[in-house]
Amino acid sequence: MSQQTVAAAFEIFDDAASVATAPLLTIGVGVLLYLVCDIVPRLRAARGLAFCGTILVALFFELRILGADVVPGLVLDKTFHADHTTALFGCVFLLGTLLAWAYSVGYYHASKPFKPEHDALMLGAPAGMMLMVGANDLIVFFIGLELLSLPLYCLAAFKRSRIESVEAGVKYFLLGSFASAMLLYGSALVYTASGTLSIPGLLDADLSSSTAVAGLALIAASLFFKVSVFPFHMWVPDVYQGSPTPVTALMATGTKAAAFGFLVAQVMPLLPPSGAPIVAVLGLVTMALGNLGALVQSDLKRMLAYSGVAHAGTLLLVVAGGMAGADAAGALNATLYYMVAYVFTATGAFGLLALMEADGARFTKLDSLRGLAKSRPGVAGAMALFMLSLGGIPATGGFLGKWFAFSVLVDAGMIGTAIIGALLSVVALGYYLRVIVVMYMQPASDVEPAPTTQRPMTAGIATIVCGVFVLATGLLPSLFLAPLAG
Amino acid sequence: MSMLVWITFLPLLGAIGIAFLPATNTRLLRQAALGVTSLVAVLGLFLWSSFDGSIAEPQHGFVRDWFTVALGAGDVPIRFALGVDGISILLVVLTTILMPIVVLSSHGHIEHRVKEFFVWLLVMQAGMLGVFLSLDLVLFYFFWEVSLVPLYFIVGIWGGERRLYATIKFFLYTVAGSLVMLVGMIALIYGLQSSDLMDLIGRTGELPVATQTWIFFSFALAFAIKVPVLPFHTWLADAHTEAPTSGSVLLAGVLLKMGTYGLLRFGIQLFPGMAVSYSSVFLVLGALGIVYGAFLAMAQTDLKRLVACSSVSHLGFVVLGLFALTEPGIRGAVLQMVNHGLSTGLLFLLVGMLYERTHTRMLDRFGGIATVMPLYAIFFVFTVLSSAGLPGLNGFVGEYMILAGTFEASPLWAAVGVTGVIFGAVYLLMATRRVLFGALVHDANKKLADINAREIGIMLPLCVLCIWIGVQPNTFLDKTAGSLDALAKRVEQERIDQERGQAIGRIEFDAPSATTEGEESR
Amino acid sequence: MLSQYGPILILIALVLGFAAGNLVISELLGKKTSAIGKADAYECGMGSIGNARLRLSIHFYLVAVLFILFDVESLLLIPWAVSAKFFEAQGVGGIVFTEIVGFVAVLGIGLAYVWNKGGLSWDR
Repeated sequence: MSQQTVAAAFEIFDDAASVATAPLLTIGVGVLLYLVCDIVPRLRAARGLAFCGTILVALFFELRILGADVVPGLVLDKTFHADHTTALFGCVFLLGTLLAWAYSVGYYHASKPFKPEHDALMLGAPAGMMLMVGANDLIVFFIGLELLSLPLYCLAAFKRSRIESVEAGVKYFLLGSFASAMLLYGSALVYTASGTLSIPGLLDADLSSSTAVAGLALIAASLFFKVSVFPFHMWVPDVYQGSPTPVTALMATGTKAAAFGFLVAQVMPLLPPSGAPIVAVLGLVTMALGNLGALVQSDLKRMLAYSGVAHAGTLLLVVAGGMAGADAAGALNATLYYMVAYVFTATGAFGLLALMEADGARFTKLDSLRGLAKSRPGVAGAMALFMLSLGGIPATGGFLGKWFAFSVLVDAGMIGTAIIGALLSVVALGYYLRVIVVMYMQPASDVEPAPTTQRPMTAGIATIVCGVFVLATGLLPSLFLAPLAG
Repeated sequence: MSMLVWITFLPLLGAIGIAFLPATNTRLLRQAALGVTSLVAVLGLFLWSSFDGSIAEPQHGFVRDWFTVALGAGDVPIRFALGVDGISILLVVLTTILMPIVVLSSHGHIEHRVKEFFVWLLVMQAGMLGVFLSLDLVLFYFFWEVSLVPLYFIVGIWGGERRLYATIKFFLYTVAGSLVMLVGMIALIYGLQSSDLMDLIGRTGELPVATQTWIFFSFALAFAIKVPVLPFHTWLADAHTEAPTSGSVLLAGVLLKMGTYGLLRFGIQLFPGMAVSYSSVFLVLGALGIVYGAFLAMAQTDLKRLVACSSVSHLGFVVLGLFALTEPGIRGAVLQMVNHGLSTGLLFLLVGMLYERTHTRMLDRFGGIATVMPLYAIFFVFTVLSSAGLPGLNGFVGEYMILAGTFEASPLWAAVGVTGVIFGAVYLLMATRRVLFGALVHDANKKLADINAREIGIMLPLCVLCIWIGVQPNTFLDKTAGSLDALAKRVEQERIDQERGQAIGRIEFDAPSATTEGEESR
Repeated sequence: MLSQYGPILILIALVLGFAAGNLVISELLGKKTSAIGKADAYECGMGSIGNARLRLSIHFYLVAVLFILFDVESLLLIPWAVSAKFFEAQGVGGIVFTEIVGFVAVLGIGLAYVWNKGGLSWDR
């Protein structure tokens, strides 16, 4: 090895790279710090501080990228990309993780001895998400995906006393590793055909050979699995329902946001316009299956799981619109906005469920929410707000997200798809409204009294934060759009 | 700050304030709600007096940038633009005046969860006023959907026995329409790179005809469901019947007008060419609605459902008048919107008062009420006559103008509409006979107390307005003259252009945008 | 070009031939007897008792996993050790040393964590 190449190897980690990877490194250090706090008896009280501190410092570094005029761009030998979009995604991941964690405080009774491990795993998850969104190389994306998935596999099974949770963990692990394997195999095939794994490299490469197409199809399948798109959505209801609810919140929002972020921010130029109709049909079918599935659920958690499938379908429509020739920046903004709104809304909704479920799993039944508006007006009010946002009623972020999503479709000229999508979201309102009906318009039943346990303060703060963000995304969109325009 | 901002957001501020009052002190809550709505009503009257009816363009404009959407071809600013013109002034003032009456009328039947009720009521007022005042497509849609949620709660919490069915049906029907409208709206914003209503008016002709057609129908569908026009009317009977009295008054008085207002503003003003091309569709639906609604009303055994069905019939008149696309037709239709709000609002109030005393709405449980409640009978007969269009009262003026206007456009459908007037008199007078007159057969009805001072106080202002419109309609018609004349001329021009076989909407109209208005008022 | 692999081929042939030849010769020449002891897993010592599929303590797995974890991670030290001189010659020895110390520190924290949680004690 010559002198020059060694020096070059060190130049890879230049100033831009250090700015771009600062949040990732912060989280790595933070996880270690958290573990140190856990094993030194005197520092045990500071564990919560270590968790929040790590997230806040990482958030600071993301905001620094977001606020800067000059973004790092492609760094680390063009394998990782950091700009305003990925920074905004990063902020959302970090906040989402913090919120999920806030809801997990006091959630685990039986498995309390392992709560520190739970927190350490949860703290590691956003690093995976940020790596996924910024990945400009299939291997980096794979590492990000594993970094996110491995903690989630463990976390899904964390409520060990419940057989459903263990089932969820095993199911998610088996199917998830299958998806990871497909991603690896697909990457290998793509490499065989093109000789490169970097996204910019693939843009120039000829990907028309059958090997490359098979590879891309495998990669797409694994992504579809992660974001729960038809026909890879079957695992979602069981896993979402079985997992501990704060984990479900992270799983539903984080994985989806990271995978869609990668799709739209990094690989969109790779996707062939000829595939748009197929993707649009997949999106519509996903929406239909998610919404119709949710419509018949009597369990709120399972209903929200199906609703998550439906939202993935809507986002896939945005991808289809982007593929069919809609403005790329518009498609990216729409995905981002939809995701920001969805992360806060769904985290809040799942979090409130976690509050109630802490008293027993049966309290996620829709009927147990009867009369909640009277017994716990705050919880009912927040839940109603989240339901309206999920349904896309104005004054909430869900509406503008939907608005931007349909804008992309109209821009791409897919009017029919947009109208079918709009009508399918009317079906969705049917079950979101049912939650409000149960809480506000039906008297409390004697059989299943609504839970009344007082929860820790963190959950209350988390709910307020979610509510504020849901309203802010609905009323002051320029707050979130302005950093992207620059 | 423009007066319009205060009118729109004062109810919202009031709602927030009321949310912090103690829930148990219902007296204080009622006073607070009454205070806020009265204040808004006073502002509404100020607006009325300072409004110049001879100007076609929006007045009291208020414009702020809200956010910017990056679209393919460039950035489209979405603006927070409010303004009032001859199309909306009557409805705005009607809304502000009706609200204190609704608050007062809630006294008899809203006994539990009073605080929530007033919060929703005020949020709804903000939403409705926003719908009438917004001059930006996105802002309009925003308020349009926001005004749905409060009624959903009002019907669902304080409604009758089948309230859950009724409220979900109402919500899903309306949302289905408005989401299709959303797609159309986005397409319009994309096509013309603007969401400023005053800018878009006159520019829609730039779009290809096929695009114009589907966008027009996506708008029309949403408004037709809201009005409701004939095939979409089934939600109305349920929602009206199950809603509490004050909810029904609001629904009839203002909410349905959002549909007819939308048809006028976004159907006719925004797409004059399409309105001319497809006016016959709406004439047929309007005329059929008049007759079908009347027949439905005749068949009802439930007094409140009867009034609800009569709404379908009356709103058929409004649709007929609008799509006659003649000046008297449109002006009559706008006036008739107000008339329907007054008359049907009064009818719902009267039905509510009777229901509070007897706890039934079945026609066969009444009879001879006039002997125990003479004052009530006076108001009832007055309202029925106003609703049936007795000359000298408000209904006559509106219906006459609409029928005259329709006759110019299509004598056939005017003739069908006239039968509606007759049928209307039939079912209303039949109902009057069965409720008020005849023998007092049911013992329970023998001890009914007559209406008290509060109830008279609620109805009196509405009755005064009924007579005023009947005797001196020009007070109201003059306010709308400027805008509606301009609109009618434009539609006429469009019709002539189409008859000449020219391409639709090539002519640029000289409509100053709301921005300059806003500059002037500041 | 292939000819230089010739000796290896011959070696492979010899090895295979020797192994196969021994088997064949013993099959041909050997005396055949059958007894219970011959069918057993062990031909000497005590007769086997019970099933071979025992349930092992979970600790074995834990120890195995921990061993693999630290073993594989410590492997990274070897490439550094091999090329440490080279890095020094290039003038980056200090940086690389700091990096490897950091790596060992991370491993150390991991070990401390496992130790503290009782992962290393057998009878917890």
